[in-house]
Amino acid sequence: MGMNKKTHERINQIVSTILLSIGMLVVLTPLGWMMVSALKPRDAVNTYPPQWIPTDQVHVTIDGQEYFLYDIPVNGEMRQLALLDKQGGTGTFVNPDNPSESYELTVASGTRVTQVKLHWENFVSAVTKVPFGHYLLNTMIVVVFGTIGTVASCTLVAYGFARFRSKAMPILFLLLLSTIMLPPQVTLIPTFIVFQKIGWYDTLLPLIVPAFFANAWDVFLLRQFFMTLPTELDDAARIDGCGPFGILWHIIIPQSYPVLATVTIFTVLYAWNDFYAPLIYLQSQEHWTLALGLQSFNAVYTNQGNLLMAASTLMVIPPILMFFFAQRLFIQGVVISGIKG
Amino acid sequence: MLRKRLYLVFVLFMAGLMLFTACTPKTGGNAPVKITIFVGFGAGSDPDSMAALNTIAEEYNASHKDIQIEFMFSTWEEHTSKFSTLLAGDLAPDLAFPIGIQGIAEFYDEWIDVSPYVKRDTYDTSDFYGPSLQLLNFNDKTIGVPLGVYPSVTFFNEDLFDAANVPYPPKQYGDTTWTLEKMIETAKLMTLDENGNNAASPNFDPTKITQWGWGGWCGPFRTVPGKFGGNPLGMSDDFKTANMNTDGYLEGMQFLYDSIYTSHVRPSSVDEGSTFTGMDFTFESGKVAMFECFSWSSYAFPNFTTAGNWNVAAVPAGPHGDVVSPVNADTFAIPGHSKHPDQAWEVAKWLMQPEMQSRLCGIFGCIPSRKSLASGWVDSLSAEYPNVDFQVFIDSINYMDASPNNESWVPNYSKIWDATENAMSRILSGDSSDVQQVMNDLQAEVQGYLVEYWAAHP
Amino acid sequence: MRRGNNVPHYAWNNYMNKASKPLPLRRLESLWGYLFISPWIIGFLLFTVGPMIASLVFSFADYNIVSPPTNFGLSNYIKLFTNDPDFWHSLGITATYAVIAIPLNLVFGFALAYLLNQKVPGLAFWRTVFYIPSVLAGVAVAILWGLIFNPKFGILNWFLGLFGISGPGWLSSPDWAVPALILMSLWSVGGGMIIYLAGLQSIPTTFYEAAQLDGANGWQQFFRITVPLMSPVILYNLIIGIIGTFQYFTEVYVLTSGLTGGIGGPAKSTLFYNVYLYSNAFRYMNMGYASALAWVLFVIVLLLTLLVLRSSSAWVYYEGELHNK
Repeated sequence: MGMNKKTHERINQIVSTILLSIGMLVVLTPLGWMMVSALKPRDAVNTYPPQWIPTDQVHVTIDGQEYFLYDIPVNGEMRQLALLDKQGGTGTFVNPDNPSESYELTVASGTRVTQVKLHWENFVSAVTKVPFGHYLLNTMIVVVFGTIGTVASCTLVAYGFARFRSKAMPILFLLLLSTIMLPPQVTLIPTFIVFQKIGWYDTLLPLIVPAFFANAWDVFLLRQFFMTLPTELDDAARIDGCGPFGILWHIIIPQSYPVLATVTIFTVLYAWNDFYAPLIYLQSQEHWTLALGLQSFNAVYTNQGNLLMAASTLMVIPPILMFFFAQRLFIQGVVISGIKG
Repeated sequence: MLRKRLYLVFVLFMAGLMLFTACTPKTGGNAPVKITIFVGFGAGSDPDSMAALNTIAEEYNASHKDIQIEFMFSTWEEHTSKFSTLLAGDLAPDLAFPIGIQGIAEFYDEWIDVSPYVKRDTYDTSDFYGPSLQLLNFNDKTIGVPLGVYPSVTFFNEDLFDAANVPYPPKQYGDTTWTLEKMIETAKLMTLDENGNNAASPNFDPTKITQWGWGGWCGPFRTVPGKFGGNPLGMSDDFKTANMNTDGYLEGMQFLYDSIYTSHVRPSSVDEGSTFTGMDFTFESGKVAMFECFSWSSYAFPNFTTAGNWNVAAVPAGPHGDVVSPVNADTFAIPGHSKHPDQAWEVAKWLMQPEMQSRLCGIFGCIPSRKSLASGWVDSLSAEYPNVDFQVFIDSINYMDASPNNESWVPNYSKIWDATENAMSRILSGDSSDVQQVMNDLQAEVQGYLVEYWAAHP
Repeated sequence: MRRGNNVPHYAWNNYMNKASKPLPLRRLESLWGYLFISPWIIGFLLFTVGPMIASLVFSFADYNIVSPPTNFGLSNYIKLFTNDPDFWHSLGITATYAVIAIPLNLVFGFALAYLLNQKVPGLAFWRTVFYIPSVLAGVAVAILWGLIFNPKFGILNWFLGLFGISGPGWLSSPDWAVPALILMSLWSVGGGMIIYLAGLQSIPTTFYEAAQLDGANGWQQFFRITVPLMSPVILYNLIIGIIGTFQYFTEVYVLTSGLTGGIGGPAKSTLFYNVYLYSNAFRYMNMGYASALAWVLFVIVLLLTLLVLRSSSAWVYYEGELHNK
């Protein structure tokens, strides 16, 4: 029996690992492309066919002017020459080390010299072309306060909906859900006017304050989890003299670390990535957030795909790290829920 | 009960607040007037441009006491929602800049007429290209002063022409043999299948194309009819009767259809959007021999260069002899909601000075609208791309579709824009092969929008 | 199987289940309840209800944002139902997408979470890997998916090619754009996954141990323990899925704005409901009509949600449910 179970588990593990590896390939290929693109020169982000290895066309400088270097046969011998001028199909090629050595050759018979080169400086450009530190600070303010507000308010509200009855509760709950059923595009203008009238335009307040008043997505999620927690422990605590706040603090929250971690992750990520609300509510660049600032690399009539990708790569690293370390909370969840059975 | 009533009062109060958009004029003493300039209708919102514009603002503010300026930026994708929230929130910017004919049309009723200012200041417009002034003269008002123009030219890949040993397209306008028909004939020689056969050869396999002779016109649908003797408006001059299935439109659309599915020289939009993923222009692939585009494609010139040695040529003549270089233009516009239109005009004048114009066009990629700046523009670009004949762009200015323009205002502007783009998409993607039917559908749809508009605007 | 283990209830919950119990306790309970949900109520009154009512008012008017609403009446709604093929077209696309994407996302998210709740080596690593797609946002996603869907060089058609299938043009093809978007939605099931994962982590291992002692095999355990105990989470993902997919917007907007035919293209094949709504609001400057579209959608989604909630008493099991009446 025991042996059997072990073999079974082993097979399970192998199958799972194979499935996960296939999934990983699908998931990480786009990410890999993003990083590769981030390391390309700006004039070779989109090439045909797509290149997985960042490659430069080699230039040489002659008399302060840059020219392409070609691999081209001269009298049967392959040479590396710079294309100085082109008239029709014929080019003037010179030896870059000795510009007076010049040949008239058919350009089509040669190919441009390429070399593999990783443009790490793109990451530097991505953070220096915009006031990165400033944007980061604003983003951190929004993320930290927004997350505190969301998690605190949503926990209270979800607890209210999950553990207290009254005739109005189901209606109020439906009302809560209904607030996210109306497409936000049509409430944007009136909402904007509200914030403008109270003088919050071009401040971070519209991005932070509403978080303290709970939102339907997270309240609903937390309520669903709170409702799966058995009421026996509540009752026991009540007998021990705990009030409603005490029960929330001592009984509900300790059993809910996984879902609280989930809500935290979602909220942080949302605040981190959101560029639309900052775009609408902020004007001066000193108040801009990272997501908004980095979006500008994608402006029309620009050609900075490599910087956009470098910026995007930098943007995903903090949330990924956060998630990786938030794992512990999920695992802790198991231990705690173990005691209740 | 009381709570209910309080609630009702509160709701009514809030609803009232929402609808309350009246102006509350601010009275300023001797403090300088702040002019906000909305950047988002076109170029200017990337980090480099933002930095350059902020520098210009600093220079202006250092040298002016009564007026201070501030640029505010929006992504192009969200410019309509950002701009309309500002208007609704009584935060209207004082200038929209840069803004093109499309941006003007999107909020046509919002912009004020600048002709009184032009008259008052006897503003000298003699240096501007005639067509660029014409572009900004609308039926009932003049909006802005020309900053720059973006005419179209034929781009071609010299390496591909060299390899096929086919003569380059002509650089000079006035060559009557350079027609759309000739262009397609040339493109056939430049279109290759995987066996190396060109599209003029009987062995050509159109299912295995590896190189296309023509990449099409990069402009929207309304750039097409002018080349076939049609009117870019697509409707009668009183904007009451749609003319979408008449010759210019129908012929142009049939031409596009044939170039993809009959002569096979142009990739379908399915090929474009998929094979050439991520590229703004298929020409960047080095697998397209020619295409026609506006000069704002200059931001992609480095990519063209990576794809090969390239150059530019004249726009070919249409079947009825029309030589049309579709044009876009940039200017400024003063919103009617601005609280300081006079000061906005002063700032705009400062921005339109010759030296400032070439500097701004350097940022946005336009050709300055002043004739005196043409040679400077050609020189600066030639220094960067010595092999390219930039004079062709300047020559194209004489062939611009200035009035009506392919972006000119029509009623229900964006609806009709979407309808025409959708019709073109049906043809280019192969969704429909019945050009006449697609254009009949479009005619009915556009006529419906016109009727709808005139019912609401008697 | 769980109810048998229940210890008798004590304290007020239990008293109140009996109809004869005194009112004050009940009243106290509801007062506490209101106190706890008050942050939301205040926020709702301050920031939400006003704009919602305003949009309802706009839906009965011509409103171009720039000038105040005029022509109050039912004309937007009349036009919408009688004279707007794009309304029905976009609703159809959205409903089709929802019917396919919602179940697929539920199943894949659950399956992935289940897999990542096993004793697989390097769990934290795997979970992070599958969560990564949900972290990416905006234009980067569009560019990356362009590559995946590339018929010539994309990995998707390469993969199909292994089975001798020649893949289509995906996003730029009117027939394949919506299937492409459905596939794309699966890429980011990582968000749903971590919700399921949080749920799976909350199931006490003792349940499985007890079931094993009873001789239940893996499948029986899955269907008799895992699924019922996860049903509140499934309900959540289902309802949020309905609400979210009917408002599906950002991905389409980002992915199609650069294609021929513009937003909602090619050939209107991705003209989702909210894409059409957005165009009316901020491109056609017809906020009144957009608001009417929004309120029609609101009613549809509300009815669907009520339907699901009503059915949920039959299939959702709450360990800590409070029994009214």
